[in-house]
Parts: sequence; structure tokens; C-alpha cells
Amino acid sequence: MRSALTRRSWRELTHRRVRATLTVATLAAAIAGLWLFATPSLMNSAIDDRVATDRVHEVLLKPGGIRITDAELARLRSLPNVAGLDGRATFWTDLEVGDQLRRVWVVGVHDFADQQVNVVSVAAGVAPRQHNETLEGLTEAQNERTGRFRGGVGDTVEIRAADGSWRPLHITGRGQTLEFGSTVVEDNPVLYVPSETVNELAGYQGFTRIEARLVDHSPAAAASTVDTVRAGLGAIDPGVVYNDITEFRPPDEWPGKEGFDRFVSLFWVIAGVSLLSAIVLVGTTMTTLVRDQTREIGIMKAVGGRGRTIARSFLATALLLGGAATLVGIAVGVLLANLLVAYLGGRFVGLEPGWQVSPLAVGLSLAVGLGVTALASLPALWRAARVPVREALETAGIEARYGAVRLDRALARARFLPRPAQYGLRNAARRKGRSLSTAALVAFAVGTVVAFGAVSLTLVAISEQTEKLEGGDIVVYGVTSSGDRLPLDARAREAMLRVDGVAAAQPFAQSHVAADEIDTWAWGLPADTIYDYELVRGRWFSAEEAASKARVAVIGRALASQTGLDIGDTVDVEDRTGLVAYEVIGVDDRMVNDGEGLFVPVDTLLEVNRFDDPSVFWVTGASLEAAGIEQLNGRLSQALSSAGYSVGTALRHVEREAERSEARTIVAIIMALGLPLVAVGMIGLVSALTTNVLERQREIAILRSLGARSRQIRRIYRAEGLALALLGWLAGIGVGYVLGRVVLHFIGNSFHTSFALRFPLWPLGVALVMTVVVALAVLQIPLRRACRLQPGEALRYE
Amino acid sequence: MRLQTDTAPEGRLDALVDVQAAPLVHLEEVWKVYRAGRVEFPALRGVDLSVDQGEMLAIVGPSGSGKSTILNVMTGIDRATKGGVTVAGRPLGGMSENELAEWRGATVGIVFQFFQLLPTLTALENVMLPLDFAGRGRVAERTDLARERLELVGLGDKVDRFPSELSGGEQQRTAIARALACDPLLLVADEPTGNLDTATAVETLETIGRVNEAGTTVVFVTHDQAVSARADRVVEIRDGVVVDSSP
Repeated sequence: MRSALTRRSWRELTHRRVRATLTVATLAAAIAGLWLFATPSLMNSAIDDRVATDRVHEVLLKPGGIRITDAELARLRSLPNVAGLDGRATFWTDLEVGDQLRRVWVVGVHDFADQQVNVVSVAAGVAPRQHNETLEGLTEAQNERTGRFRGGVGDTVEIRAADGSWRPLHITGRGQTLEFGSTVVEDNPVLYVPSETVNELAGYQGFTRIEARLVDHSPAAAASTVDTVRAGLGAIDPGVVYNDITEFRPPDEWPGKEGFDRFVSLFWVIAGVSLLSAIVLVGTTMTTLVRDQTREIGIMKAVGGRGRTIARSFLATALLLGGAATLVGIAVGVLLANLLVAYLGGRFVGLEPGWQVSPLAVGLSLAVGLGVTALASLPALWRAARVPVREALETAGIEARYGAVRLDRALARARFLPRPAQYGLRNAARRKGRSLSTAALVAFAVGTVVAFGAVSLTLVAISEQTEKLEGGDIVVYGVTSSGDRLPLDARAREAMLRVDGVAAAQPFAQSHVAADEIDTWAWGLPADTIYDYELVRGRWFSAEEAASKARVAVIGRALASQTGLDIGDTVDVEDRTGLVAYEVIGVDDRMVNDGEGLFVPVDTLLEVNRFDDPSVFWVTGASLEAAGIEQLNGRLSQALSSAGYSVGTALRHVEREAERSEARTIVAIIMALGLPLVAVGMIGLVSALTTNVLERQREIAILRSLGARSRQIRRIYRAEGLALALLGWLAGIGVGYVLGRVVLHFIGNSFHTSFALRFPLWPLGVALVMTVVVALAVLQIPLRRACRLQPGEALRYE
Repeated sequence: MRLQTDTAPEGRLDALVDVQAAPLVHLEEVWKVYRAGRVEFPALRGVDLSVDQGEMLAIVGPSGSGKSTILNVMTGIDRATKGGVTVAGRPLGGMSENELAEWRGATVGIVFQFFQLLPTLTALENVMLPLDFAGRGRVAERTDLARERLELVGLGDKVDRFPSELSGGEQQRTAIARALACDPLLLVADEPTGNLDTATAVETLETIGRVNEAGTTVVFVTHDQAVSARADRVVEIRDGVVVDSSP
């Protein structure tokens, strides 16, 4: 047998089903939003599993093609501190897809059955056979997923060999590995083939990548191991040269992590605001619920109920609602978090993570769903319990003290507004606490849309601006038929300058370096460069310094920030040929190379890399039109070919369009991250407006009794809904600006720099439309229902 | 008291002429059954009742007898389950909710037991409300009309007060002024003095009496014999059935 009080607690859920459903939905939305906190940890957990499974490398050396026998490989694998080691050959070439050519990275696997590092697992089909007459390979799983290349198992594709001939390659299966899958996500499709197939296609022998995992990952042990491996390689081939600096990757780093980490800061901000929204929403909902039952509390007190006993009964109802909401919220939150991880995993690293549940998020959901719900009810319960019995019994659930405060009187004087608007505004002011809470939730939602719109536009603008800075209109690069670097000397430059429509042709050099141990790129540029630098301190290098190949450098602001380097300091730059010291003469504010790059005179960089001539030129055209540039490109290629130079070209406006498309994806991701917050805010608005109508059915009946028709009643309530929505929107502008600054600050920190927020108007418009549409739409159903009721029924409504 | 203007709603004067011979209100074999879940409760069981033009009728009876239901049915606030309800020549049965609302605004004035003033509107605005809904004249004319009604009930100096700033009696008088705003043919009042002190109750009854003397038909519900004594006729109802009707 259950006591009457216990039954009351349960029956509250069924007695007012609509309100109970709205309350649970509102709380569940708030709880689901908390699962954003779980996303980074779920992602890391999924990645950690893959890193372990794939045995991602921790050290990478890039020799220029070294032949290693199986016995020599075994000896290298047995070196001290080496947990695993593999050699790999790779080849960049063209893939024929229909009538189009795509660049493709052909990645060799020494032995599919015995892989110790960056394991390529066969996800479908079978591994290609080694030493086979027919060329076979696997298509990377990310190729199809990203749309880079849709060829599947059983297809045959044409691959261009280094000698210019086209070779058929039969796809036997689908492979995947984190290291090369992330390359597909960023760049071009990947095919996995036996290493000897690479050698056959590329026209060279041996490995161009030596990948290793370590037992002891400490920097000192890693450096020592690299020296040992290098010595081992030197013993195999004393003439071995390296095409790049050694890459060290700490165990907790994974391919694509840097990009993902930049989003993590967004997650924390969103999750924090989501938690705040959740608390406000839960607090408002429970306060409304309790306040509406002040009369019931009065009745219970009148028949002998004591405060604590009554409070327990209401708390039980609150906990039942909170419990139901927690279950629903967790279910939705798990879905939300896992979908987000799946999307971001695919986006950044080409990962397809399995489903996981975060204990942290479950704990937080329980804390908010049960704890905050109960705590939020207490103040309202305490207030209601203190109301004298007589007063409580007279309460009709509607604010009866309207008119006492200045705001009420001020609104009464706003007679310049249409009558429904006047009534709507005053209705909104009846429950000031609830209206403010609702407006706050709308403000959070609007602020999110506005902030994320502003942040994404800012980042896109910076990205576009940065893209415009490099390459001029056409990048011309000398390349041999085997894909090697071909120098373009002074004669080549003169040939370019003679082409009609060429405004400038400037040499360019680029080198992968470690500057004060920070992995970055060094650009070699002329003193009169077309690169539109923006110096915050110091100066660009002079013509004399360029001519004398001085060791001077302008560094990016993010690099300066991370290293503490400033004008006059010396930066130690490790290149593939060794260590070079440069004097810092300037700091550039542009975000090229994420602001971490350094700029040196082009002849200096060529000398350091032991090249006589550059192999790349930036060409700018006299015409700014795309068609003009494309025609110029044709003439340029023709002229250089006629002069005996084998070149490739890249049209910068085509590449920029691809970058723009990429940027749009990032905008979409950022906006999508804000959706849970928007949902919480909108659900809060829906709940408040629907409750307003439900609890004023008696008032609607009175209006009906006085002659009001349905559309007149709708006009009044629409005005109230719009008043709340607009109030929230206005406040949301301020919230959005502050939130945008905060988010951009975190993102700037991840780039070791700062960005100025652009605050355009269109997100404000989007947010206004969204809020108004929701406010108007949500009122339709409850108002229609209320207007259809006979006034007598509504007057009896409790 | 009734405002006779050139802008009186069309059809109403005709209706007046038509109903001068017939009763203003006629209930014929009216049943009202309330349903709550599995339970049915017949509040009215075959009620026959007529109210003549200009009459003041009191409906008395114990709690739960169906007094308020009769008022609800004759004003269209509730629909009869069975039987016919005709007011000022119009049968209410076939009208939609919107039509009923419009008809009520033009024909009936209702004074509720607990006043039911809108808390966010001043006294003047509460009285203007029915005029707004009916779209009577311009806003300035409605304002003047409403002010007149409030002066009539002695609240000319409190037009800008909110209901929370008025006493119970003042709220009741505001409610009466609101009920008279559109110059109705029929004024119904549910326990008009039920929540008032004696002095205020007397004042209220006198106001209602003046309204009736000016020609408005009045029907009110009360359980107070002293109040019912002021009526031209008293109808007693018990268990949903009219048991007595005496002048």
C-alpha cells in the first residue's frame, strides 16, 4: 500500500501529461548537451586504440632511396630501443579516373604479412600478391569515404610510371592505416602496393622511408636511437643522403591531432555554456513546476502537512521527472557524442570509431539530471512553503500582483504600440523570473549562432587572406619524368618573363625544418617578394642581404610567441643537411604556415640545401581573370617546354577554390558544434511559451466570454511569444560578441597567436529568423487547442 | 443606462423588436452532462426556463445544484448536451465557438464570481476589452465609453489602477462596468456579492438594480436569500431540475 503522498508524487506525472512531457524534454535536452564534454575523451580513446593497433611510427627518417636486404632489415630491427622498424618506398604520380587525372600517393608495403610499423590492415578483399606480374594494390578506405577516389575492389586503374607509360593496377582490396589515411583526408588518394611495385613504377630501388617505434620514448633515448639507426643505414650505404629532417612523434601524438586539438578548445567552451544553459533551464523548469502548485501546498498545509513532508513529496516528483529526463538525455547524449566523434574522426584522421560511453558524461548527466533538478526545486519549495495558507489557497497560479513595480507601469504607458503588442509585452512581464530565464536561454542560443558564425567567418577570412598571399597566380615547378626536382635556371626565368601576360616570375624555395625544435617550414623568397608580408616588428631582408646569402630570417608571430625569439636573437634551424643559425630581423603577422614559419632569402635557402638554382617560380599575370590566367598557363608551359624545360604548373585560383570549399566545411563543422546549445535554447523557449498558454487557459476562456475570437487571442499570445523571442535575441547579440571573443581567444591560443573577431550582420539575421519562426510556430498547437475548448471547460481547467 | 447610438450594431434593434413579444431567454428541455474520465455527471436534467425582456431573475439552490451551469448554458460558455437554448431569438446550438464569442460580446455581459479581471490591464483597459474585440468605433470612442461605464459604477477616479490596486468591491464594480461595456441585452452575474462585505454587496446590488431599471435583463445566481429577494422572480434549482419558480 502506498501512502497518499507517494501516490501524489507519481500521479503528478500523469495528471498533467503535456507539462510532464515538456519538462522531461526540456531537461533531457539540457542533459544531452552536456555530452559535448565527452567528445574529446571519446575521440582520444578511439584514437589510442587505433594508434596501438596500427603501431603508428614514433620516428621517421627519409633517406633518398636505400636498398636494404631482409637480413639488414632484421639487424636494424634488433638495434637497442627499437620496438619495431619497417622500410617503405613511396611514389607520387598520376591516376587516371575516367577522363580526369588525379594525383595519387602510391605507398609501398615491404611485406603485408610482416608489418611492424604503420600496419596496413586489409579491411576488405585480399592483400596484393608480391612479385606478381600483374600490378595489384589496395585502395585506402578513406579514398571512397572522402570522395577522393571511388575505385573499389575488382576495379583496374591506370597509373603513370616514372617513364611516362601508363600501367594497369588491379585493386584487390581495401586497406587502412592511420598514418596514410589522414593524408587522404588532407590531400590526395592513397594506394597500397608491394614495395617492389613502387620501385618498378618509380624507377628507383630501395626505401625512401624508415619508420620506427621505440621502447623508451624519452627525447634523449629517441635522439640516441635515431643516431644508431642512421649509423646502421650508413653502414649499409655510406653514401646515403636524407631528403628531409627526422620526424619525432611523441606517443600521445597521432596524425591529425593538431587540427583536432584546435577544435577541442571549441568543445570546452560549448560544453561550458551548455552546462550553464542546462542549469538555467533546469532551475527555471523546476521553479515553475513548484510555483504552479503553491495552492496544492497550501491545501496540504491546511490539512496538517508539515514543510518537510510536503517538500519530500514534491522532491520525489522532481526526481522522477529528473530521472526520466536523465535516461532520455543520456540516450540522446550518447548518440550525439558518438555521431560527433564519428564525423570528426573521419574528418581529421580518417577514423571510423566504434561506439563508446563516457563515464564522465554519465556522471555529469546524473549530477545535473538528479542533483541539479532536486536542488533547483528547493528554493521554490522553500518559498512556497513559507506562503501563508490563506494566501496559498487563493493563488490561481497566475501572478496577481501585477502593477506594483516600475516596469509594469512603464509598460502600461507604452500605448503607441498596437493593442495586442501591449498586452503581449505585459503578459511577458507577469512572470519576470521565468521570462528572464527564457530570454536568457534564447540569448544563449542566439549568442551561439552569432558567435560561431562570426568565428567561422573570421577563420575563413584569415584562411582566404593567407591563401592569397602565396604562389602568385601560377606556381611553376621543374620536375623530371621520374618526379624528381628539376632546377629552373636564369634562362628558364627569362623564358617565363618573355611570355606575353607575365607580370613577374619570382623564385621560391621551401624546406621542411625544425626551428628551435619546432617542426615547421622555411620559405626562401626574394627581397622584393610578391608575398604580402605584414611585419609587427623589425624589417624584411634587404637586397644586399639577399645577394650576399646572409643568414637572416623573418619569423612568424606564432613561432616568435612559442620560442620567445625576438629581433636580434639567433634561431637554430635544423635542415636535412644539418643545423644553421639565422639572425632574427623581423616578425611577420601573417598566418602562412600557421604563423610558425620563417622566411629567409631564397639564395640563402638554396645554398643551405646545396642547390644551385630554384625549382619553383611564382608567376603573376597581368590579367586578374581566371580565363586569362588559364590562357597564360598554357603559354607559359609551351614556352618552357620549347626551351627544353620539363615543368608542371598549379593554378592558384583553382587551389584557392578547393581551400574555400575546405573552409566552408570547417564553417559547417563549427556551426554544427553549436547546434546542441541552440536546441537547448529553443526547447526552453518552446517549453516556456507552451506553458504560458497551458496555464492561462482560464484567461483565454474569459477573453472568449468577453467576445474575443480565435485570431484576436492568437494575436495577443503571439505578441507575448515574439516579445520573449526578441528580448532574447537582443541579449543574444551581446552574448554572441563575448562568446565569439572567448572562442576566438582559445583558437588563437592553439595557434600561439591572437585573431581579431569579425562580427558580420548575417548571423544576427539568421538568429532572428530562427527565433521568430520557433516562437510563432510553437504557439500554433496549444493556442489552437485552447481556442477550440468551450470556455466552460477552460474555466474549469486546473 | 443603455447606450442608444446611431452606430448600434445592425440587426440588434430588429432583434429587439422581434423579441419584445417572446422571452429573451428560453431554455427548453436542456440537459448538461459533464464527463470526467469514466464518470458522467448530469448537471442539468431537462431544464425548462424562460426569462422575459427586462426581467430580473434570481436562480437559487444548494451547492452543486446546477445554478452556475444554467448561466453558462444561456451565455454559450457551455454547450447543452441536449435541448434548445435560444437567446434574443438566436438558437445557440448551431454556432461555432467564434460565432458564440462574437455573439456574446454583442449581446451578453457576464459578471464572474471571482471578478476575473485581467491582471495586466488597468481598470479602464479591462472595460475596453469587449469593445476592442467587437471593434466598436475608434479607439478614442472606446476609451470614452469605457470611462463612462467606470464613472457609472463610481470608479471614475481609478481608471488607471491595476486590479491588484483595487479592493474587492472595486474589482467587482469594474467587472460590472466591463459587462456593460457593449450595452448588452442580457446581464448575467454568478454570485455577484459572494466575495464582498455587506456594505459593498449592497452597493453592488443597487448598481445591478439600476442596470435592470434602465431596461437590461438581469439573471443572477445567488445562495443568499436577501439578495434573491431583490429579484422580480426567483427560480429554485435542485439536482439539475427546476423545482420552483416564484415571483
